[in-house]
This record gives sequence, structure tokens and C-alpha cells, in this order.
Amino acid sequence: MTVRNTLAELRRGYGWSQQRLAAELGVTRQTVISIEKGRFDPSLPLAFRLAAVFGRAIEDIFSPDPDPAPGPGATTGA
Amino acid sequence: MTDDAPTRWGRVRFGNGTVPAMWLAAPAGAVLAAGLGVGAALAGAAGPRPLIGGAAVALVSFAGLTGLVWAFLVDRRTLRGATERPEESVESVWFDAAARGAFTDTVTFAGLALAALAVTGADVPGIGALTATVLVALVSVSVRYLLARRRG
Repeated sequence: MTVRNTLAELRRGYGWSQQRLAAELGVTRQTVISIEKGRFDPSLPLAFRLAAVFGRAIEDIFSPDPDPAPGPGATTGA
Repeated sequence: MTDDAPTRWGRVRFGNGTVPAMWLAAPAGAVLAAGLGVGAALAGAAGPRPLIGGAAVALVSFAGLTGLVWAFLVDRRTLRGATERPEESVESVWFDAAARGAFTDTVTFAGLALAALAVTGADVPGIGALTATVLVALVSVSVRYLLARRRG
């Protein structure tokens, strides 16, 4: 199952750069880029930290994608 | 600077983590390099002048051995510019996937090479076979990592 997310919109809403969000999460900027593009599904601890950073529930940020795009699936950090 | 501030070479991963990794790695690398130089001289592998040859072996191997010891000792989170949780970053996932693929590639290569040698009866020196195996593993993990990075 693929997962889509609203991370890019949330981050822009906060006026944060990808680098700023990466620093908040303790991961690399490339990790934020890959999550936003839907190419990397974060581990559960990282998803919880993302939710905490934005003061949301995980399901507010991540949701199952009912219509996944063809091509290689996302890698997972679990 | 505080003891827990990130540094260029980082600090050791054991104890209370305040000792700079290079403080241990450089002397250990020097001792290992000296041992290698003495070993080469005693084994007659240091050329016609064992003292000079052994010293050259020690000198050339010092940086590499220091680097190896440093890589073993350092806590990567104490390096300047390091992320707090590298294990949760996408690069870590890429590397794990590349290493898994490289293992398969290496075993496949070794099996095919073994079959070819068994059929042809060719005699390959051990050092050549081991070098080829290590090269296949390194190239495989490097290429796989670069491809994963390009895919993003």
C-alpha cells in the first residue's frame, strides 16, 4: 500500500524550509525531500515526530493513497 | 567549546564520549602501521633494504590504518554537520538496500566464477580471486547506492 502525505503543504504553511524541518526532525534534508515526493515512507517514530512538530495527528499528515501512481514504490524507513 | 559540541573528527562512541576520536585513532594507527612495517621487514616483503622498506610500508599504511581505527571508534553523531538521527534518514535506507543487493551480487559472482573455474580447470591465485570479490562487492554497493539516490 502506498501512502500520500500533506507534508509539503504543512511545511509551507509554517514558512519553513526543508532544511529547517530536517533540523527539527534530526534527519537529513534529502529525507524531507523524499517524504514530500512520496518516495520514502518514514519510520513510525519519525512519523510521530513529524506529527508532534506540526501539532497534528499522524493521520492528518499521512493517509492511504487510493490511486497510487505507477512506477517504483516508495522505500520505507521502518 | 563544550565537551559535547560536534567536532570535525568527532568523539569516541564508548565511555562518556568526551575523548576526541583522533586522539586514539592516530596513535593506534601509528602502532598498527609500525607493526605492519616490522612484519613486512621480517617476512622479507620489504625489498632488499628491510629497514627502509619496512619504514616505507609503515609510512604508506599509516593514514589508511588511522582511518580504519577512526571509523571503528567514532560516534558519528558527534561529527560536525551530522544529523541527530542518521538511522532514520533516507540515506540509511538507501545504504541498507544497496548492501543487501551487493550481498546477492557478490554471492552470485562468486558462484558463477567458481562454476567457471571448475569447468575450465583454470588456476586463479587466491589474492586475485579475493581482490575481485571485494571489488565486486564495493562496486555493487556503490552503484546501487548511487542509483537509489538518483531515484530520490
